Amino acid sequence: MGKNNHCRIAGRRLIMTAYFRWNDIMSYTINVVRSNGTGTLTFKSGTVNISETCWWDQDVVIDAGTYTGYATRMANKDDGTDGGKREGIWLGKGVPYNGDGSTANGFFIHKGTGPSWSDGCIVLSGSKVYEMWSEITPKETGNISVVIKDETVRRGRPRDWDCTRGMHSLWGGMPSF
Amino acid sequence: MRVSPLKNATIAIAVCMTVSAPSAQAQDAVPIDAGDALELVEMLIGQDPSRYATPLAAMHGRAELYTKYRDLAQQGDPMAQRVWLLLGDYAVQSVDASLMQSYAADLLPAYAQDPKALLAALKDAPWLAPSTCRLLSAHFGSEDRPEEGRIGFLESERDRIAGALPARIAQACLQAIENPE
Repeated sequence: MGKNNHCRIAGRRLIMTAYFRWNDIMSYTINVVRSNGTGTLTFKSGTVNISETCWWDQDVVIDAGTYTGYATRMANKDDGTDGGKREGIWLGKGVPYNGDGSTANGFFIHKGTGPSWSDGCIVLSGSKVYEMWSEITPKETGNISVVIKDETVRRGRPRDWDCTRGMHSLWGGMPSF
Repeated sequence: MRVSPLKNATIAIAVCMTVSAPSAQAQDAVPIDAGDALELVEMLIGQDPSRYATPLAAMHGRAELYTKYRDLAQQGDPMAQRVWLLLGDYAVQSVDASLMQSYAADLLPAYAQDPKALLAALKDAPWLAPSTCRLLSAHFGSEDRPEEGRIGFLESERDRIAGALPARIAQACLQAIENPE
């Protein structure tokens, strides 16, 4: 009986510890929806609510998909918004692009004012990158899901057979062309 | 412990890189760090650099390699300049967007600082010319830099490039600068 109680208490402690540890590791989601030439990046966490136009190099286009992101700094760039190295979200190793099986290791979400800031990276206003980057803690951790989607716009729908037949019957036969 | 033949070859190449130096400026060249050489060779053969435990650390390592050899090249170290150009070739071939943007910003000012040294490096290693010229070209128009400087640069450097490099290489280089990808 006493041994069983000890086991139950230990089990509860284990579950509680696992629960709190899980909650300690916040996870974040960045959504990028692309259409022709520009896209919209959205990010929500705490009081931060971003929905901002973003761009990319049209010749190097990351495949749509979900990637693990890391809030970090680009050590080879000295133009960070806070005066340090440039803030960015690294999309990890082996990110596919151009839909042909090619992969690359250096794609980021970082600051930029248009496609000329990108060789494949997704770029948006520096102040918005900094706002998003500052909200994400801890840094240097794969705690971000970056979801990239391509918007498909449906324009109307194909006419169905019944409708055509209906028209034909109204006209009393197939129209001649 | 078993060491794979690939690893042996990699280490051998890396050691060669540490002891070789461009002949013309051998006396000024500082041999590159053996760890850096191994990292670069591993990257060039598509392996994860063995000095880093994670892909994130390797990404930071590439950036550190970039800044280290850029800074040494800017200080006039000819060996470091060639290593920096080789890393630039890796950036282009592997479509490392982050590194390519950095070269677009930093390479042309380095050329302007000492064009003869950079062209001498390309003469000795003409296989680095396509990527180097592409990265020089990328300076104009990227990250809000004005596109207009391209024509002036070509006008002032055309003869120098044509005179320093073999004709075919020079022509391809000038074409890459004139017609950006």
